[in-house]
Amino acid sequence: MITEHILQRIDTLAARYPKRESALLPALDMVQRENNNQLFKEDARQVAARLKVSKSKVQGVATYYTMLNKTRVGKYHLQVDTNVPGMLMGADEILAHLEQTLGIAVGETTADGLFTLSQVQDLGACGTCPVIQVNDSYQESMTIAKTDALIAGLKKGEMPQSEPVNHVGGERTVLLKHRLTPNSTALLTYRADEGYVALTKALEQTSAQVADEVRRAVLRGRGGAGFSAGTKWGFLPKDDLRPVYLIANADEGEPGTFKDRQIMEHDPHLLVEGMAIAAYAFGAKKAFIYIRGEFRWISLILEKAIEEAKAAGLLPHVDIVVFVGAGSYVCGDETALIQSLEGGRGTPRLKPPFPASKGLYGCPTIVNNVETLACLPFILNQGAEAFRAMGSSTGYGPKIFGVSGHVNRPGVYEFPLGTPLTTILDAAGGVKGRLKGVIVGGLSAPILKPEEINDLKMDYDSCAAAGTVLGSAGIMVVNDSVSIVTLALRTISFYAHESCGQCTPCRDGSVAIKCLIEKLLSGHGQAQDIDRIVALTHTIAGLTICPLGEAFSLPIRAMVTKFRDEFDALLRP
Amino acid sequence: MKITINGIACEAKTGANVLQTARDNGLYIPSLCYYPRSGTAGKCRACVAEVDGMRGLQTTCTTIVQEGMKVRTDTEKAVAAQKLVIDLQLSVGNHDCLSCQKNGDCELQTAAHFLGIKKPSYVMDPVPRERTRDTSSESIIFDASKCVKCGRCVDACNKVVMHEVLGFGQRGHDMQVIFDDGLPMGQSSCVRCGECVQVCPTGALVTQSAEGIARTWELKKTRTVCGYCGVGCNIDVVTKGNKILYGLGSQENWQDLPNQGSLCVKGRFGLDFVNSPDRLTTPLIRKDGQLVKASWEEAMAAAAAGLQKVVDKDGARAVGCLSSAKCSNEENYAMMRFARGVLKTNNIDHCARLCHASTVAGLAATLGSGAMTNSMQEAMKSDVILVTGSNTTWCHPVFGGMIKKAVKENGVKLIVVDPREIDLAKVADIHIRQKGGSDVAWLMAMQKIIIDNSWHNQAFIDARCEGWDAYYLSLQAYTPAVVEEVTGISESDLYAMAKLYATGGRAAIYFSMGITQSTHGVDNVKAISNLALITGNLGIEGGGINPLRGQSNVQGACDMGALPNVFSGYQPVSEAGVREKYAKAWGIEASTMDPENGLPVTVMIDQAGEQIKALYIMGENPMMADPNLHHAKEQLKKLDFMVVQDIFLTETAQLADVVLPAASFAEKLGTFVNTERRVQIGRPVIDPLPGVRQDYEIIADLAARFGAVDFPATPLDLFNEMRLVTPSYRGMTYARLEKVGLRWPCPTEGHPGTPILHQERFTRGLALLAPLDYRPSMELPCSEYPLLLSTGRLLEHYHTGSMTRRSYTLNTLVPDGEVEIHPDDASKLGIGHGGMVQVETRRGKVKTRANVTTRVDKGALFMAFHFAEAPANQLTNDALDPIAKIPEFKVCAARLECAS
Repeated sequence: MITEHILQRIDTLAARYPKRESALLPALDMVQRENNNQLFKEDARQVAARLKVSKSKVQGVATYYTMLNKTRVGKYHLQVDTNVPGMLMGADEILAHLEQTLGIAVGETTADGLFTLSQVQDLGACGTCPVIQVNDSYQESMTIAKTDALIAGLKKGEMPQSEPVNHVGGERTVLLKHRLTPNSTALLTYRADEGYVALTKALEQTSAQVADEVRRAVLRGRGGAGFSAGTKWGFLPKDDLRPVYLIANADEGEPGTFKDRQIMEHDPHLLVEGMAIAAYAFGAKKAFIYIRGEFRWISLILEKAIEEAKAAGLLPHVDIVVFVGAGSYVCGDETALIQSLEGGRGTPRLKPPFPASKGLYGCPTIVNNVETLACLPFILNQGAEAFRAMGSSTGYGPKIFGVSGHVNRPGVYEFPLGTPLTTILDAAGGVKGRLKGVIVGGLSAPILKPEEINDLKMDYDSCAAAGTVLGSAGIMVVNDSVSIVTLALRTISFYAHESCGQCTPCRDGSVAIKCLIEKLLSGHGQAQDIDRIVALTHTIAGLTICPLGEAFSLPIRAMVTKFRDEFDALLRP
Repeated sequence: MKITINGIACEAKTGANVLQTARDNGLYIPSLCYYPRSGTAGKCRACVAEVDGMRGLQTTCTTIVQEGMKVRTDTEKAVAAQKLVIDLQLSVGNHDCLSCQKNGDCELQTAAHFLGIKKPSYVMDPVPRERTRDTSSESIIFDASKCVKCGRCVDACNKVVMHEVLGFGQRGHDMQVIFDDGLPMGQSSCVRCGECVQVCPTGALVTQSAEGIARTWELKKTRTVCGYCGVGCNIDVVTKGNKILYGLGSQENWQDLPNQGSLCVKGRFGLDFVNSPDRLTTPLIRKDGQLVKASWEEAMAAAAAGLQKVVDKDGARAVGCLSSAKCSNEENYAMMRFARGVLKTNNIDHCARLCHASTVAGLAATLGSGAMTNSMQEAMKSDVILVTGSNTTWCHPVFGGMIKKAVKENGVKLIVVDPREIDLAKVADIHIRQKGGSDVAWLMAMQKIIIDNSWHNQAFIDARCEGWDAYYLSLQAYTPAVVEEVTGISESDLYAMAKLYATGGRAAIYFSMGITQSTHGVDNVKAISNLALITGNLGIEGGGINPLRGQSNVQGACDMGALPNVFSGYQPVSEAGVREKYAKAWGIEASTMDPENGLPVTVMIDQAGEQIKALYIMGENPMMADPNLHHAKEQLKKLDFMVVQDIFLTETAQLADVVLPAASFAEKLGTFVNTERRVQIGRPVIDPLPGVRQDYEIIADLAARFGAVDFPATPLDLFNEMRLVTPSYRGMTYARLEKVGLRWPCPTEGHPGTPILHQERFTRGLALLAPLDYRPSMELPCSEYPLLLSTGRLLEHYHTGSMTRRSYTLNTLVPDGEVEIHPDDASKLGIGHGGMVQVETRRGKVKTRANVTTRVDKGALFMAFHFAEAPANQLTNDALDPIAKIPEFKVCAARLECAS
């Protein structure tokens, strides 16, 4: 039952948004928390009525996001990330151990109602795999021993302190500069190192001058697509009466990627200042940070930072609201993100219209990645020239590279764009075992064989020339202990799980590929099945509404064609 | 502009997409999700092509044509993609074409056939069929295993008809169509409008009535106009043999049709009454007090003799003719001609007396014309809409959806003033629950606020209105304190409403029986007229005063002069020149015609046995429709002679001396006028049942028996004669009406018709601002009868129930009547939801079930009048408006007690 008090809290949530429906996801999350992490249908109905949305809409939303629990979960919901980085770093063993220790299979709850065990997709903690999400908090860099300690602790009602083994390195001039500074999230700490000086400088200029500075810096989007932020801003309509919105895309969910999290968790003011500059540059009075639901505790760090900045009078021109997602990879697509923020299912929209002309609530909207926005203080403070002094014409400025998988020091490394991959791998302690392949730009990047990486520079154009993508620069290193067929199955399983379901080639094509790979692994495969997989990847790529079709077609095709012998070896004799 | 598709030159409309252009040019591109009425979805990805100058494949449904564009859908790459999409769809589903209802009319099948896909290529565990077949709805079957997840049904439900029941649940491969929050369709809030069935490209959503009955090529579709409410929906009626299965909203020219391709549950699934075994197919004559079967000749002779006898004995004025809002213009005109030209009486009327007589009288006095001033499609172009006394969603369902769409999709502001929390109230910006019968007070108070704040349109008033001084003086009585006492509406609410209506931009008013069915109905209408006039909301697009007419041809029956005071086109019988014109057209002597107005139906019933000795009733059922039925029955029994021609043996026909079986709307050709004055052609969709005759044939036969041997006896002859004597119809021909009809006035054959009235001048010249005094309703709650009873319609039923009670879907959905009562009143009286209660007024007692709901306000009751087992009209008050003679159906005092 929802109390009157909760209904009032729903109204409070709704008041944060220009349209009440936007509060749907936060309200469902809140109601779920009130009921031992279970979302009851009757409660969802009351939320629907309060927010004036239909029952089918609320059900559509409730069943779309994985973090809304439609069935009972135990007091401790253990969610093991078995996506590719986890798989490479021992998550399968942790999961198996948990099944054995708790005596339950994935999806089950212990008889005492204490534990529910789930297998989840990519928690954004790739450098600190294996990771178990326990309710709202992460337990990172897990081992069998630490897992036993966790279970023992939870049984006593104690949550052990997570002990992530975070490696941080590289030049760290901009984005990871404060990563190891004590008390780095505090406004005082941030201001001690020229924090908010850039914003002050920006506010002394006209907004057009600020936008021009950013345009001249040729700041390419750090989310994956690499589209110039200044150019994107330029697409906003001139002399339009509609409000303009800024959204920071903090839905970091590409397997292998854990870079935005470093900024938000450890240097939140860098993002806030960046957003304040961007909002000023194009006149956004309302801005949102759309952060993935698994990063709930990080959303609290951000909210605190915003509050601090606001209290210090640093945000007179913009109101920043943190919106927490609820489990959907596709919401990283800017139009899906907007749908989600409007209170809907996270389904990408047809483009055009692009968000700059018709985005949130039908208004001009700019969606920029966290890392992109975090570059703005540097650009405004040091100037576009200083920014362009880092990297080369194939990509300017600093970049966070997340390295996971089979390396000795998995973690985050900041280098200028264009830094050789080998330099980064060296910084990460070198490859563990014999190298089989490297995925350099998150899971959607086609895998490279050892011979393809020697001269590879990590920037947009060089990666494209090498037949892969820089993407989110989530580097996953795979050694020869891994079957590429298994890797392919893990890859396609992720995308099939995350497909929003709107368009046929992605919804059903991903499952078709998955079934074919499973057929091969079951020993019933035939050569034509392998050809069919390749054919599917050719036809699906470019045929879908959003880039998800390409995101799985390209890597699967690369795995099959580059490691065909491993697939052939499974064929029925 | 020109584009080429696969090398073929195609003519394209600017702004059109390539897929539509291909279709318009007779070219086929495989597609599943594109459906013009629900819009471009771009989801199925089947309709892809290569376009010169564009990178990669393009979905043709989202690609807008450009001059000279070169499109190829037949390249290797495009065909591979098309095949993949269709192959995947076939692979995930369970498509049993051999026994599927949609075999031959399935877009997936068509695409597979076109692409030469013989069987699905992929193995993906289809969901077991039994588990996915939802047959819980009495009218619709949903089979998820045939669903292609195109979203057409979801978009149709949420963005076209605005019921918001269907949605998508889950995601990815598991995504499926859901009803509400995952209920079986039959248990969900689905209203069975069937829009989803109509838009579904496959056999996933089909009609129960056709399952296992027919394959698509055995079906016939015939376009006609729906026989229920006044929206005038164009229906393609689907028949097999001579049996009606279901209706489809007409798709051809849908954008210019009143219903824009949509239907409600009655038009979709409620037409089966036509084939009811209860249909009258043999004439009946009363012998020894019993109605017995007779031949047509016997019956017609008896009818003629009976009427002749009364005319001979008591004169023509002793005969009354009741025409029908369910019959065509031609038949109403025939009835009018029969009454005035053959019998020579002006005692002709029809049920408009019971619905919009006050509108006709009120607006005739203030504007000069009593019809809707604007058209329904303009709702999208209004800035503000005021709905009062109309439960639009139930009574004019398709238009109710359009208002909701205007509000939700176009941001139109909505004010609802209604004592009940009707569906539209839930999306309204302002919903006010006024006390029953207090409409003059709140309407005039709004006007006082508007003028006191100078929100009125002085220029409009100066240029186009008269009567200001008396009007302004009368307004002064409506002070907030007085009005709050009378109406129960607070001063601040009145202010908010007045401000929004007067300053929000183009404002339209839609009203219906809540305004008209009152002893001060004419005053209510005049108050509405005043409101629109002082704000200049007349003669403009998106504005107007719009009385929603409740029957398929009630506007036409009025237009045709089935009224005691006017000939067709509202030409007064009291004017000698007018009588001469008709006399000439009819080949009779003008001097033989009655120069005085006849009696309205309510007075005819009251005068039965006195001034009125005989009634000739065509397609009306006063024994269910009239107020105070006990009294009505007593009165009808006093008649010397009564002839009823109808499709069923109605409560009224059971009292007749001669009963003549008539053809239904679905069996006849003729024109029908919808609520927005649009004259449309109704066509026969089946052959008349054996034994029945067309109403126009019966009238002509009867006329001949009175010596009028050249009485026109075909729809075309009647229409052509009618239009020559009716200036507002003069320019209409069947050929011109063929596509989307014409809105009167249409004075010449070159005239385009008139969607908006009063643009340059009012019909009466200057409009009259009417001074009004508030009068309470005749019977208000008191200590003895403490509750206020109001009556009306349900979505699922219609009028006296003679049609809808005989429809399987409709009568299954709502088999019983009930009385709505507020939970507080129910608990005070110890009444539970669904419990049997007795409702009593000074005129009668009725037993029915209690529906305990906050839809009604405290102290109020609501009953529908469709149910013969619990006839609400035994309770209603037959007090009349002094001018319009309309009864006060909406307000009477009642009490209620537990009956179990």
